[in-house]
Amino acid sequence: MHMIKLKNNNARFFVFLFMLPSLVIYLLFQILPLAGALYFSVMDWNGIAGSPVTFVGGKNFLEVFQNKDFLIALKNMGTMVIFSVLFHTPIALLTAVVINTKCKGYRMFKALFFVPTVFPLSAAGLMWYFVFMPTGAFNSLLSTVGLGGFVTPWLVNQSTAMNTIVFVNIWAGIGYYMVIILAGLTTIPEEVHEAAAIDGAGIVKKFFWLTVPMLKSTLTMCIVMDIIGSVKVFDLVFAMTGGGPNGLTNLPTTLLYNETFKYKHMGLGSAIGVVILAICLAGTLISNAVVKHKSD
Amino acid sequence: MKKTKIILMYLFLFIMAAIFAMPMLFTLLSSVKTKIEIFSEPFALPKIIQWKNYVEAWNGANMSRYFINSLIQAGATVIILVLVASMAAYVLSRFSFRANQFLVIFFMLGMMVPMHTVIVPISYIIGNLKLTNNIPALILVYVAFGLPFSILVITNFMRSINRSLEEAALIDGATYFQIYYKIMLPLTVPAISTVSIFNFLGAWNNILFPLLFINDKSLKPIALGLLNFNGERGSEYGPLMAAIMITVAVPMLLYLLFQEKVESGLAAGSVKE
Amino acid sequence: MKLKKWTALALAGVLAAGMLTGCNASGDNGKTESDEKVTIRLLTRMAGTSTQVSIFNDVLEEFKEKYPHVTIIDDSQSDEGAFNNMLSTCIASGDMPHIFRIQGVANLSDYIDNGLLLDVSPYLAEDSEWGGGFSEGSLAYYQVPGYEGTYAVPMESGLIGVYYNRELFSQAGIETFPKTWDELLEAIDKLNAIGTIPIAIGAQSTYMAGHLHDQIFYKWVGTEAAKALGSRAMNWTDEEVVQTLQYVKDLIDANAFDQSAAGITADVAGAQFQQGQAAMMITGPWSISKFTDVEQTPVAEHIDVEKFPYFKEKPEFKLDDMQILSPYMISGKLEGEELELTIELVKMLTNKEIAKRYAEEAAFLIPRTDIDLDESKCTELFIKNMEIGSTSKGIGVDVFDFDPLSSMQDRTRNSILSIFVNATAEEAAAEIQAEIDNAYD
Repeated sequence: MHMIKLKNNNARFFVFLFMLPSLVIYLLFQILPLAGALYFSVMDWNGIAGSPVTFVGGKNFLEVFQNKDFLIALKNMGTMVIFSVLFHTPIALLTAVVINTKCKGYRMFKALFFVPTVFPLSAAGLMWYFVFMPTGAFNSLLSTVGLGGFVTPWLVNQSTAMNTIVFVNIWAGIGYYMVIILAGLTTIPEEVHEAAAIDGAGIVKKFFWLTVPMLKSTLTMCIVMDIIGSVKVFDLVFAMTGGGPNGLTNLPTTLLYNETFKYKHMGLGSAIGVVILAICLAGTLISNAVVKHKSD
Repeated sequence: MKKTKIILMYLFLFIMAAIFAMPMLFTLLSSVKTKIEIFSEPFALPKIIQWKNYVEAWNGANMSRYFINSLIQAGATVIILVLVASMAAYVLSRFSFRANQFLVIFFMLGMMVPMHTVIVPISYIIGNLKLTNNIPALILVYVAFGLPFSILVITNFMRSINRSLEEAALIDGATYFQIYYKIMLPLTVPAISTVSIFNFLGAWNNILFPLLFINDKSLKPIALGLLNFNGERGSEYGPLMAAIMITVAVPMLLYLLFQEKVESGLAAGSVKE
Repeated sequence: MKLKKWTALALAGVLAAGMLTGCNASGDNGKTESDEKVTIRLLTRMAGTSTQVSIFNDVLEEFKEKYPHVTIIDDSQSDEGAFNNMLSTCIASGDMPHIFRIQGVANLSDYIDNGLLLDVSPYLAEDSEWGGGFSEGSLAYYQVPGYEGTYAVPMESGLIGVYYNRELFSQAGIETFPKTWDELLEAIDKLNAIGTIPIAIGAQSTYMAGHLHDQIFYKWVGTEAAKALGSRAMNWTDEEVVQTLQYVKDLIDANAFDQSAAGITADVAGAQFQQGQAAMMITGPWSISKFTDVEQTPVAEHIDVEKFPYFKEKPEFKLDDMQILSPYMISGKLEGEELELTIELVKMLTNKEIAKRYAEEAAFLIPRTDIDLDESKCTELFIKNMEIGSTSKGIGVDVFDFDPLSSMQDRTRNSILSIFVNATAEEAAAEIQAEIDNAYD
């Protein structure tokens, strides 16, 4: 498309003026801090103003990977990512397909499934905290229906704590992916469905051999967004357990926060921040590569 | 469709609905019960509706203050963001200059940076420049992190707008500035509203940056204030549940009013590369 | 459309202007010496709805009336987490409030080096009526090894004991409060038999787990041992220290606590005790005004307090008790009128007269030896607490107070919490010791 060329100073000035605010804000409040994060990750500082900031090179990163809490956090992150992806996309896909049939009341269901995604994660976390706390609704429910043997402090029990949080994350995210897939579904023209019906394809067959392949790029997109999104989870853990007990449910993000604010290990905290950045970067780059590769 | 298929489908929907609605229903019910009722009969209807829980949350626990703070912070973010991003988008979508490609990529980079990575440097900046409790600075940080997505969406949208109006205006001697606010902005309203809603929600729901910036209780946004309330008076379950309801009320309302906008915004952000 | 856009632009302009003035406003806090107006900022734990807080606020009001040109900003927080966050931010920026508090003693050296803490000893000496009334022990606590001077004004003290419900005890057939550990275990069994939670503990609020361990620690190895740990003369992995952690586990195994203690917050545990569902609770004088208020505590009339049981094998530590001792610290960066006024405010908050009010009205004890107490105005519970507290020979606050590593507060508490979630005493000890070893890399 034909773009305007900068022929005169008037145009040049205009371009400059209009780009300026964005650039200034962006540079000052995102790029500069980003550089700062990289800077601090190779420095040692105890968080008190006026205290020395000394260069320590890769020491922070070595510490990070030897830190027991970080390793637990990394493992938790892995759990979060794997299970979120495992459950989000298939369930979202199924739900989207069902809603797409525009059955009676579909609008209501769609709204119900989507609404959790607009909640602040802190509120969602708190909501579920009251359900899962030792004297909470879930344990009450279990006792009432005679499953009292399953009653346990869900958020504190080593075997259930992280999984419970992952469950809440899944709950909070399904609507999001459902809506994206729905948008993708609407791009599949009706004729394709009708043609398949004429050919005598059953619903399940139609689903796997027709719908899914046509949604490939959307689904891939969802999975990649899910991976990056799961890495970034913070509010949820912060609200439900604060990372505890004793670091059991930490994610790199909450660990970063704790190290920085509670323990004043600024260098270590920054290093974790850079690791999170690296994971996100890797995720984005891989996603770009995969999508480019898949576009036929 | 065959009968069994329909039954299966509705079964699926209802099970999903039950799981989804459970915590929300529980919270809603509990918000109008007394503490004893919440524990003894978690899923029953309250005997008397305890509206006073809401009053306590709104006044006693300061939810009103937090609510207003969030309105101001999220609102200001959106206004500045839309302004600044649309200005940049106009330039990027219409003018050809060497830096154009570079700038687009430069802004895209920002989308990959998670907020957590910059916790330490931002605390340092806050400390050294005495920006604690400085709400304008907080808002600018929100704007900065919202720029990549917003510029992307608005630029793409503007690119698809037919240029004939602008070309006609240029011939008539209009300045670029006039074209911007008389032609481009009105035509870009769909993208702008999408971006607005997205970023409003983002700012409303954010707790990370407020945690770094704000110490003063009277300046906290609602998502954070809620956690504060829990920390201070966590055993007052009735008002606490009411507070949760108040916190999620605005996002929920926004969604219900602007359903299509919100959903199309998601699609825009994800499908468009 | 046009109007909307112009309004938006105008708003943006106003906001930009606001940012510029905003930057200045927060920088101005307490730094203006040439101005008429003085601002004093407080960051304490005195917030919330208890009586001691309203007395605190009364003093602030009085001060404001006396000095109308002073603005007081009270950022005080009752929630420990919120308070710690705020304090961290202040420390990181060097923008200290005028009056604040940092827990711990040995870790104060960094702060003193950076000029963040005022040495109050000259002011204590100068005003002997005020300064001379503080108990020796409380002042000594804020004298940091390696530095001359006293670095805080003590403002709260009192025994942390075991508050218990006499009614539940008699229902369980326990005649007197257990004096020794073995008797405690017996009492726990009897309480379990009548279906009551023996000890209410909200371990999720890690400080409660910490306090439990503190009590056991002081009775098993004495209060001086905390200093030894801090100076590294003792290690957490030493047998006797591990034993203190083992005792925590023993209590858990004896079902002394709610099954889900690790998932309960202090708030909820307090509610259990106050509603009569739990028979004992380890807490300090700050809870007294709550416990004597029938509205908040239906079982108020049954509540009594005793010291934590001692170990019969270690009678020498029978009078080594855990007490609370809290400070007002003053920023070391103040000068001139600001400094004078701040000190005046601290004096008003801790003098003989206000101490009398605190004790009589709020069961809150400032560690002064010159309080003219009218015992008839105090609640029985408070007097009992004071009585048994006065017999302490050795006093300890939290064990980590003497550790120079500021991360030990969280580290010890979290490791103790982990015992509630199945860690062994050895594992917990090793975890804590590792934190120390790593810090000295």
